[in-house]
Amino acid sequence: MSRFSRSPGINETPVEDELFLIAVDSGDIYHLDQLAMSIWRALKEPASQAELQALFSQVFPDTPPATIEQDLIKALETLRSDALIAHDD
Amino acid sequence: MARNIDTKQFILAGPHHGIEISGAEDLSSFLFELIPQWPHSPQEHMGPVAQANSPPDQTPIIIENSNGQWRITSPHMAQGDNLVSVHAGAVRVGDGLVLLLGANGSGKSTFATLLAAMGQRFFADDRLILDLSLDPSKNGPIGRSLAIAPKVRLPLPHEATMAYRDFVDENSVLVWPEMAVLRPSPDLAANFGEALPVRALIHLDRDDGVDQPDLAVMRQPHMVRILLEQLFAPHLNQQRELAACVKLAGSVGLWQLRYNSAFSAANILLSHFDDGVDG
Repeated sequence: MSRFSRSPGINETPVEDELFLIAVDSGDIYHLDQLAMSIWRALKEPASQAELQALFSQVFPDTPPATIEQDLIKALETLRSDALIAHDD
Repeated sequence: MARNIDTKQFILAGPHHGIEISGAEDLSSFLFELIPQWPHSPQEHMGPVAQANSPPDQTPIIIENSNGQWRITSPHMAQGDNLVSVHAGAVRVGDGLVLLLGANGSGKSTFATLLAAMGQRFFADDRLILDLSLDPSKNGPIGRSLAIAPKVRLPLPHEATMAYRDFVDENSVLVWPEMAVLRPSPDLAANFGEALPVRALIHLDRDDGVDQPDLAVMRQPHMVRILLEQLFAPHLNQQRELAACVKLAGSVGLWQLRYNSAFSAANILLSHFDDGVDG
């Protein structure tokens, strides 16, 4: 099962209950929204999309699975396009 | 009146280094109306300013003409590890500085000059140096005036008070159809290098749909995002620049002012911060 993982060379700066990430090589700074931050924290250990979806379904039991899947796919794609996470495919 | 100084290059004093201005022939007749108190000397004579910084480390400064408005854009004025420059207005209210942040056109100059016209000491309408060393003896981050002459757009808004109109008239030293450069007297405006602790950061959010101005506490992450756009520190890497933003946002009161007209909102700032409430 292919998995997502945090990219190397990313530094975290927490500010209150939110999170900023800095890509050391590029110097780019990212402010994560709540979902992206939750994904980032969940990816402390590599995880598949299915595993992430199961996790978020537990955390948000009132949210329809299809909505969680849709939001998750979009957030993962954003994190991936910013090279903050990688996919081992 | 503008002085007629016919030279193309100057050395000006920055906080820690001499600053070289070249290609200044278009500016030479009125440059020192824009930065009236900056110690300076023509480069060919390398005066005390340059000699005071040994070895001379002259960093470039850019003064650009954008849509008829002269703007100092160089971030190279901040050269110490704990020094940064910030795109902000600044006025002394109560016992410290209130910094006014926002995009171009958000009202920084209007608020800063209006508050000056209302008796508060003017420090900046566009750019300020901040010392973030947070030395306990300094009582928080310190703002240092660059004594850059404030500018106001003309014509003044229709709601401008008569007192403000008089203030602009009495202090204008350069006037174009769209802009006036002011030089408030030393009892109204900070001298070059004059410093005070920063008490609050206020993000100006102008919204024509707002009936009553609203001053609300702003969360730290939101202000950090704003500071990342408004704080200039090319001598710091991104990690340290972010750390500087977090440090600043974590050490003073953070506010957002939603308003329609500065002339109806200025009293809110005065009544709030002049009472020593700083968040």
